[in-house]
Parts: sequence; structure tokens; C-alpha cells
Amino acid sequence: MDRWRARLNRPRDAASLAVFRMLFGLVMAGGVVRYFASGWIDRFYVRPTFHFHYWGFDWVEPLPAPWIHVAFAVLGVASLCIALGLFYRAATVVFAVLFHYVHLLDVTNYLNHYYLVGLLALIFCVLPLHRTWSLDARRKPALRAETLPAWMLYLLRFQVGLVYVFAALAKLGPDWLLHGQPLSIWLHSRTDTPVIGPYLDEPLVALAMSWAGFLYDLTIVGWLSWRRTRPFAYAVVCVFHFFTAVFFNIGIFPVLMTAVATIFFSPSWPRRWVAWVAGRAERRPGAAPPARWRLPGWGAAALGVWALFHLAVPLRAHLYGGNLLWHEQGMRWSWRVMVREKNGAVSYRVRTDGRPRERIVEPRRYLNREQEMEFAGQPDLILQLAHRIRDDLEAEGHRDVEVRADAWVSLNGRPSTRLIDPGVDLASVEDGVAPAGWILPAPGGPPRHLRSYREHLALRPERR
Amino acid sequence: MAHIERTSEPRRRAPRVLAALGVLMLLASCDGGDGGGDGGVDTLAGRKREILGAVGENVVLPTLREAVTAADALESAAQAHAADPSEANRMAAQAAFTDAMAVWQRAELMQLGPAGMGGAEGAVAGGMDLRDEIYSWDATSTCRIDQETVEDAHADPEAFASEVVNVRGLDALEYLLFVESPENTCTALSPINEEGTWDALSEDAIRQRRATYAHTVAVLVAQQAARLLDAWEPSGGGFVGELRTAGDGSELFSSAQQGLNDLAGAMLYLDTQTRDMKLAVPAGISADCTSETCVDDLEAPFSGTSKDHVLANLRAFQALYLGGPPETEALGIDDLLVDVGSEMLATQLAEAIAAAITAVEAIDGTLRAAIEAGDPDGAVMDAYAAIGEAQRLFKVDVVTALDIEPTGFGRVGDND
Repeated sequence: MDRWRARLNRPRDAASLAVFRMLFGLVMAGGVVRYFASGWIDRFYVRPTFHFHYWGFDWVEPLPAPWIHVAFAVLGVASLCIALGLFYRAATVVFAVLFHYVHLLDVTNYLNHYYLVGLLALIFCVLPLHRTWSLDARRKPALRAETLPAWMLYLLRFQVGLVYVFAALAKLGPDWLLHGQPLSIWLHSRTDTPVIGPYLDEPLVALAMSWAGFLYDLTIVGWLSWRRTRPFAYAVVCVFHFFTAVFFNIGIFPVLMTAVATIFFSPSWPRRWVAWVAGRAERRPGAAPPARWRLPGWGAAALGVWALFHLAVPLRAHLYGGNLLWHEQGMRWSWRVMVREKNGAVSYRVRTDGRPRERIVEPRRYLNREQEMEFAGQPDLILQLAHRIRDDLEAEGHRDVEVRADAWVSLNGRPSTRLIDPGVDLASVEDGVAPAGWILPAPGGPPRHLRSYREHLALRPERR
Repeated sequence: MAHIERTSEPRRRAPRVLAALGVLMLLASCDGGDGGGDGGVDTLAGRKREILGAVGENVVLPTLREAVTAADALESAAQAHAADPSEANRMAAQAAFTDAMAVWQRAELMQLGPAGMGGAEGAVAGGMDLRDEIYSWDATSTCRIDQETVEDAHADPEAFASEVVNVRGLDALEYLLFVESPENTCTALSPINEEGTWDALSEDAIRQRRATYAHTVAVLVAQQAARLLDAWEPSGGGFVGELRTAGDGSELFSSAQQGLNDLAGAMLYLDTQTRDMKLAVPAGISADCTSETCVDDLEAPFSGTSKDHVLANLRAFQALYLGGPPETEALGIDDLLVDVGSEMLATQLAEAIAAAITAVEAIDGTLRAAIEAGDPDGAVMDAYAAIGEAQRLFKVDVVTALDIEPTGFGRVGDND
């Protein structure tokens, strides 16, 4: 145990952590600017009249305009402060609080990479990443430290590595590995892409890319960690994320992942680069870090608990059985990145006051179009809106309110099927972590095979 | 002791910097924008362009040409009615209106390009907001029309064109030509009632003013319809050409898929407007109707043509989907489904649309009559369900099979 602790406390050059901090701050600042420029703050948080809450966080509501804009502005400033290492302690806490606040406002805005950002923000609150190459260190020389204990580096590597490993495990299934879905669907709509576009609807291309994505996720951490393969691996990271950015609407994800992958580099890589650019010999980092950053016994235990927790959370999904992509119980916070294409149509049938007549409530009465698009494939959100409809009807004085859902969903190109048992009164169903009996089983059989246009022409030569 | 890794010697940097710049330029050149570069139809992108062009030329353009012809006829009939507001002229104007509206109800499903939304959010490529200039339902306000009638400032169409859209479109025209009552539809607190300006008008004056007003509106509708057609015509704004070259030379569409997204977004009118607003709300199927039924919310409460509107919407949806009327050889979205191997879905949706048309046709008499009679044979409910089936297949299955993100309905933010 002591040997492990000694390993964790070994001094490591803090340069790569400083660069990691800078890149993270800059990417986040860019993300905030993007939110302002795209008008998403109004669209996602000001205009909607209904927000989907996370379980246990019903009390989190968006600030009214312009305060929500102010919150984002502060988030942007905090991001820049993190990048510069200026008022770092305050900036990381402000960033973490505001980022989690924004993230908790509406489940339909959940993204895996926002979850990663949230976790990294929490870690930043603990780690003293402003001790090297920061304005804080310049202002207060006493803060300066050129090395930090290895556990800080390992913690960040663990957190980033988890994303890749679980993203790979999520791809272990017939849809991804045998049918090339949902990539095949997505690539069919990208045939305008210059040069390679005409080949993107070939089933073999989708299958090859699926396997490449799987192997990339599964092994990239190893390649990045091994000094000999690192340059090639990082080139692959750049190319991979460049193409994901071109093909898919995934916002800051490619930039973020390209930035955070640097955590697997040698801790001294920035010094080497600076030396290379400046044309001088690399300067070695100075003394060992302050003793107070050495990991005590309880600290090592806390790290262990943190690691176990973040291994257990994604794995919880397997407790539910069935097709997770269909019922989505345990889907969030399990790094299932880009593994499903789901489209749905939902409407509610309501019955009140013991009358036999049912009336239809369309979700658009409550949701904007983006929310409607996102919620249609997520059973817990369908249940949540059913409860809101029930509450509204009861507030209007109706009694014996029953709410049922007609929810049709297509998963990875399969013909649309009912997602929710149409006979179950959702008004009387409570949300929770237990397996949900009101979600119908996933459709069996393989997804629809999408033909390439070349195959089509071969079948119908008269089209040529 | 500090952990030290291998140190590096100073090196010559120029070749590496140049190489890095080269890679960056190469990457920058592949910006995923314009120019699939395949030109022909031997690729899926080319096929999409071919279908978009065909739908534009064979479905949208003929509809808009017909709409302009009908609007011109309506303008002439309204002019005759304004000159002599006799019952015969009024009936002639009403007939011309019904003809024009029948065509326009097909054009309602074609709100891509110039008829569609301009601006930023939910905008379609080339959107000029011309739809609302021609028909602003469901923003219609008969009270505002009554107020304009009292104001009597509609002699000059050019000046009147600056009024809000819901007093100068086909919806206003329906009210002006079909309303029988010499009363107004404003509340007692409205200035025209409080100040007695409405009561000061004789029935003849009201009839005359409505007729003059109707003519002005007809002139404006005809102008806007012509503007819309011109924006589509190859000899005018050439929007149809933009569709045909989407992603391959088009200035508006960076990809053929974007054209498909705009087309699908326009077709979802069947879901949000036809099925929901035109059928479910008036029939009391929707909880948005808070009484037993809401016949006052029918789309065409004065002309009694609401059922025809629903049918016209469905036929336009069918034409856009099949590329023309059924049983004709035409390129439509169904062909694209066949191309990617979803023949069964293509047939299923074609059958569902035909079934929906049959179901609406089965409603006896007018929609108002059927609803007021309590939908005794369940025909309204059947029509609602049949349209629902067609829209579900389109909104879920077709959208998935072709990876469409219908404009105005698709994801706006990021994804992962």
C-alpha cells in the first residue's frame, strides 16, 4: 500500500497539467462564445415553458433573462481565468457551480462531453493547476511549483481514459459491429462530402468505420500512453476528431477530446516543445512539490472511492438487462457516445373525471421542437411530461386524471415500434431507478439494411 | 527528485512548420461545404438533387403557376364585386375564392424556399416569408378585419400592404366575402363598438366597404402569389434551380441533404397544422379544445371548405412524396426510399397517405356538420387516425431511413 502511495506521490513535471488547464479553459470559453453566438441561451433556457429535470433536481430552474445570460458570461470569464491561471481557485469553483447549474437545467441538453466537462471541473477545484505557467504564480511567486504529485496526473488520465474505454464497450453489440449502424444511416446523408462523399453510402464503409471507431476507442489510450506510438496515435486522434467534426454535429466534443488527449503525453512535453520552438535546450523542472500535496492515507482512499464510483456508474446499465439503447435505463453518465439513432413520435391520451372519452395532448403544447425531438426516444422524459400533464389537469380542477402515451420509436433504422405500453396510466407511475415495466421490450431483429446507390444501380441498370 | 524525461536538442524548425502549414491548408480545404463534385446522378447525393429538382419542377412550380392563375381570377372577380356588390357578383367572387384557396391549400405544404421562413431560427434556405403574405391562418383576427373595415383606409393596395399580415391575406378575404352578418366580431369594449363607429355604418355601407376591402386584399394576394412564383421560376429567382443543384453549385444549399431537410420540414405541416390544428382541435379530439367541440376553430368557418382544405393538404403531401399524382411515373421521396433499399416503407407510406385521403373523403358533408352531429359514424376520428398513421411513418421511419433532420424540427444544438 505504501509503495502505491509512494508511486502516487512521486513528483511529476507540472507542465502538461498546466497546458491541460489552459486548453480546457480555452475550449470552454469558446463553447460559451458559441452559445451566445448561436442564440442557444434564449432557445434552450429562456423560451421553453417546460424543462425536463434530472431525478432529484426538480428545484433547479433557469434564471430569468438577462440573468441566465449573465451566468453564461460569468462562465465564460471563469473559463478564461482557468486558462490564464488567474484567480484560479475562485474561477474553478465558479465554473464548476455554474456549469453544473446549466447542465442540470434541462435533461434534453445532456451530452456525454458535458458530463466529462463537469467531472473535470470538479477535479480542477481540487487540483492546484495554477502553480505552473499561470498569472497567479506570476502574481504570487510563493505559489510556484514546477512539479506536482503524480496522482494528479493519474486522476485526470483516469477520467479521460474512462470515456474512451466505456465508449468502446458501448459499441460491443451487433448493431455497431455487424450491421454498421447507426453509422450507415448517418453516412448515407453525408454523400455530399468532398472527395470521399460518393463512397460513404457503401455498407462496407460504414462497417469499416464502425470497427475503426471501436478499435480506436478501445486502444487509443494505450497508444497515447506508449512513448513510441504517441506521435502516430495523436495524429490519429487529430484525424479521427477532425472527421467526427466534419461528419457530425457534435460541437466542442472533437476539440475537447483532441485537447484532453494531451494528458497522456509525457508530463514534460510542453517544456520540450517550448525548447524546440525557441531553439534552445529543454529546461528541467525544479524542486519537488510542497509536501502538503502529497496524498495522505485518507486521500488515497478517497481517490479509490472516486475511481470505483466512476467505474460503477457506467456499469450500472448492465443491471437492467434488455436493450439499453431502447429502454435507456442507465444510459446517461455511461459514456455511450454516438451509438444510437432514435427518432420518435409521441402523443398523450388523457382521460379525466371518470369520463370514457380520451383527448389528445401533443407534446408541442409544452415543448419546443428541439426538446420534442430529443425527448421522444427517452422513456423517463416521456413519463416526466406525463406527470406535468397530470399536474396541470389536476390544477384545473379535474380529478381521476389518467395519462397514457402513444410513443413510436425507430432505433438504428428498425421499423418504428411502440416504446411505452399504451395501456399503462403513466399518471400513476412513479419514476425511479427500478426496472420500468411500462417500457415495452425492444424490437427484435436486425436494423434495416441501407443499400448503397451503387448497389441500387446494379439492381436497376435502367437507371444509369 | 523531479521526474525527468528525455531532453531534446535545438533543431531546424522551418521544414516542420511548412509541413504543418501544408497539413492545415489541406484540412481547411476540406470544409465539408459546397460541391460534392459528382455532378451527375450516379451517386446518392446526385440522386437526391435529381429528386429535389423533379419535385420542384413537377409539383411545386405547377402548383404555384396554378395559384397565380387562380389569384388573378380572384382579383378580377373581387374587382367586379367591389364595383357592384350584388349577390351575383358576390357569389362569383366566392367561387373564385374557393378555387384560389383550393390551390393554395396545396401550396401550404410547399413552404420551402421563398414561401418559408426567413430570418435566423427555423429559417429555410432562401426563405422570404411569402406564405404569411398570402395566407396568415391561424393568426387570423376577424375583429382586426372589422376594425379595418371601419377605418376604410384600404383603397390603395400599395399603402395597405404595410398593414399586419392577418388583415390582408386569403384568410381575411374569406371573412370579407363569406360573412353574412352585418354585425362585427369585436367585443363590446373594442373602440369600434364603444365609440359607435360600427353602428354608424349602414348595412349597405358595410357591404360596400367589405367588397372594396376584399378587392384590395385580392390585389395584394395576386401580387404576392406572382412574387412567389417568380422567386421559384428558372427565369426569375430560380429557386427550383437551387434545389436541382443543392450541394453542387447551389448558393443556398450546401448539400443535397439540406434541401431534403427543408422539403421534409415543409411536409411536416401535415402533422402540426392539418392533423392537429385543422382536425383535432375543432373536433374536440385535442385537449387544446376545452369544450366538447371547437367548431369555431375550423380553418374555414365562413366558406365551409375546411374538409376540402384537409384533403388538399393530403394531396399535396402525396404529390411531394410521390413526385406527382398517384399512378404516374414521377420522381419523389418514395424513389429515394427505394434507392436505399426501403421499398416496403415506401409502399407502406404511399398506402397510408391514400388511406388517409379516403378516410377524409368518407366524412359526410362538411367538417362542421360532421363535428356538430357528434361524428356519429366516427369518420372524423377515423380520418384523424389515418392521417396520424401517415405522419408517423413519415416523421419517424422515413426521417430515420434517410437521416433527415426536418428544418424547424431537427436538432439545433450539439449531439453525442
